[in-house]
Amino acid sequence: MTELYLKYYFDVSRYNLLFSILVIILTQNLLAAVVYFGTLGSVVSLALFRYHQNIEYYFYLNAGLSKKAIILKSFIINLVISVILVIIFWGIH
Amino acid sequence: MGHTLDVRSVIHSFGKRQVLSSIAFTCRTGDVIGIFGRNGTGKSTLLKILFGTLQANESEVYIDNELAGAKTAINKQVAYHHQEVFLPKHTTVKNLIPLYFPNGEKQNKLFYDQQINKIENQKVGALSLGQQRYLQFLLILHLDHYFVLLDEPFSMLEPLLKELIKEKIELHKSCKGFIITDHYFADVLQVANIKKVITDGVMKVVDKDMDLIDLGYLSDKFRSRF
Repeated sequence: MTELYLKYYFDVSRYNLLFSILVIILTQNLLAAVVYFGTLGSVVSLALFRYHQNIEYYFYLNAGLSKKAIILKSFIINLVISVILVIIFWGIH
Repeated sequence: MGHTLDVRSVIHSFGKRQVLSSIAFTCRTGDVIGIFGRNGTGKSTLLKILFGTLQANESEVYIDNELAGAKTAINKQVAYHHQEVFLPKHTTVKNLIPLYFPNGEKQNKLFYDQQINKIENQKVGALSLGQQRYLQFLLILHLDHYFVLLDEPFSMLEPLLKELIKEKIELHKSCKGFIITDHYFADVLQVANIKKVITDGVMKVVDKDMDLIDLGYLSDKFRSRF
């Protein structure tokens, strides 16, 4: 079940990582990219997954993973990663 | 142990159009229920309601005498083969199967399948549509769920794969109940031991194949086939 969820998480996060890198390039600001990753990036990546791969939610649902639960879990994980990175970032500076 | 999916009442409308007005039937372990109906009669809608991805206006569905609600999928009681392929396209077959079946025994059953064996190193997206649909069917079939809903399982499949699907349904019906809907009616007729037609939102029993004509699903020109 964990591996199945990770498959979903990494598939969704591809979009998020790509756009976060784009934010770094455009703003030259690592902190902005980290905040983007944990907030707007989650929303954008989930929306893109929904647009391109919405049908795949049936794959996860058949294995007992509800759409609502995996979306929420991904959002929380990204937020937690983002908060940890912001704390580390502030600690360094 | 046998299980019972008891659909006591399903009513559903899209806007002002009532698609399902009085649907009631029971599916038990060992049953292969073929549901026929013309386009737009609500066959796929019914399956989505039973799977829990569509909320009906009114629905009373029981599994083993317990109200099932919309969590049949999450509770791993009902599996659903969608008419479209829902498998992740960028994953190889070899990596996909263990996601559903982490233990070796179930994995082996799939990997030893002759059709799967020869495509295991390919990405799902690189397979033909028929191969993708067959793989999807096998994954759904081998889940531990009590009931399997098959929406157009024979569509876009070569004859060999159709026969394999029929064989596997026959093999697994001792431990599962199946509900099938497909316009390849001859294939469904071969495998189903209970047949029903949805017409005008109501489910009617098909006692003999000829009833498919009398109930308006097939035209008169098919009369000579039965």
